[in-house]
Amino acid sequence: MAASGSRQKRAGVSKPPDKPPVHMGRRTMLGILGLTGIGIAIGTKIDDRLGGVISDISSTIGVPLPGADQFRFYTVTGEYPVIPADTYELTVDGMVREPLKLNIADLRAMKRTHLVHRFQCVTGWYVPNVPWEGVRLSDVLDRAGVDPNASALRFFSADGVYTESLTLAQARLPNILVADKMLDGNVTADHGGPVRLYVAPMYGYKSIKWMNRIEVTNEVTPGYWEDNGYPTNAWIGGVPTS
Amino acid sequence: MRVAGRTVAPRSTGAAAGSPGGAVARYDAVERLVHWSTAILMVTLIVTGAILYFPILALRIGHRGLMENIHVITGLSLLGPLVLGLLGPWRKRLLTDLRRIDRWRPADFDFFRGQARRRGLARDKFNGGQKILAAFLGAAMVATLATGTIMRFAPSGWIRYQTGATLVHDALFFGILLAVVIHVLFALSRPDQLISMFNGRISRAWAKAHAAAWLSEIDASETVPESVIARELAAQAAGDEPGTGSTAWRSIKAKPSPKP
Repeated sequence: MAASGSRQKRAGVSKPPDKPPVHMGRRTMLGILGLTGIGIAIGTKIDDRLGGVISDISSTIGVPLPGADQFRFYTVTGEYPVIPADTYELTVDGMVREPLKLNIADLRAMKRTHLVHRFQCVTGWYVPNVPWEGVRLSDVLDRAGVDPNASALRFFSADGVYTESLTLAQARLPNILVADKMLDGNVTADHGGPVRLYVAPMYGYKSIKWMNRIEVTNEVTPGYWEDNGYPTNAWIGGVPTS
Repeated sequence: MRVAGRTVAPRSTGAAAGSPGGAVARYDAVERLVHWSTAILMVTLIVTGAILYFPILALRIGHRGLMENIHVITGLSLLGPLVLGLLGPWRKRLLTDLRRIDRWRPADFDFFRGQARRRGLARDKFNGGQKILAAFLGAAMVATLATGTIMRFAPSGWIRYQTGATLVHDALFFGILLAVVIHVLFALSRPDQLISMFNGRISRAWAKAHAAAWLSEIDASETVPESVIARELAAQAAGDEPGTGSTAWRSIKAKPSPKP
């Protein structure tokens, strides 16, 4: 009793005179915030250099790791559409001379365009060097014959909620594809297959998934993500890249 | 009853004076409110963050727009409880404990060496593990708020910084997840400490065994205001019995006099 009492007393008394307390909490916080600042500043470089290695580790352990060159899968509804390729049909209508219904075979029979380009999300993540293949949007529009008074396009998804938009001028850029192949295979359902849009110069949300209808109109109707506060003219980096 | 600085529930101080039983106040209402509201926000962020991040959840649960909005709004409010807790005169106790978390004593470092018992250093209210966890989570909250804000609200043209912010945000997500799991497992395995985050009290026996330095600080600071002493002495002179359960009276009696 007496011993424990005196030990307690010693501990209580010994505190002020010996070494002053070390501000470890502050150091820890400053350290983490410093690393955060460095990460924001040079994270792109880390991603560029190490993305491949991180991806390999990610796929080995089956856990998506920060910085991996991997797609994140977005769906704005509870369930995403799984459409068999043989029943798929793309409608092109609105201000056109000849409304179209194109199936996969029709798209495969048209002039094919292949490009390798990154998929860049507006929040920052990206996947470099993604192989894309399909038909130029501008070729599809030519086939339908766009009304000279038309100025915009509206895209619809088979999920019934996701929509997107482009001006006609943007849609005519050569690196915008109606894509039925990506990553050296058919576009899978989780990537928005059988057919999705790929808008290379713009953020990922413009590349609508499960695309089943293109409507030619004379005014831009903001799409799903634009209604959620993202820019309608979604040029990567804020300026047209082509 | 409130006696000079530290609040001590009257029921508990009754026993506190002599016997090892009784309880001491560990967290005040402001601290508990800040803790639990931050906890609710944090769990919401972890759940919605996991749905946004892991492909298997993102595809199964979907509703990305909704999840994103919940995540962003919750994230922007994450520091709200802590800031509100620090903004008024009710902050005293919270601030004192944040200072404790910041300031490390030898016993805190010993915690990691497993020598605390051998060297017999009396421990603070929080041990080294709790302090490092709290400091990490505090920094991670600020850092995820900053990076999340860049990811969602940065002007176009900041895309390279958004990529960096995403990298940091995702890495912090794993760190926070780990820290929260550790925190919850420790809390569940130490029910008396968990309960103290509900009712604010912990037993004096616990404090003596695990936080002796803190306990002696409490006891040392339990000085009695002059006015109370004067009143009690007056009452005594008048021949009244001192009020039972009065901390003031016990302290006066217990402190100065050597054992009769």
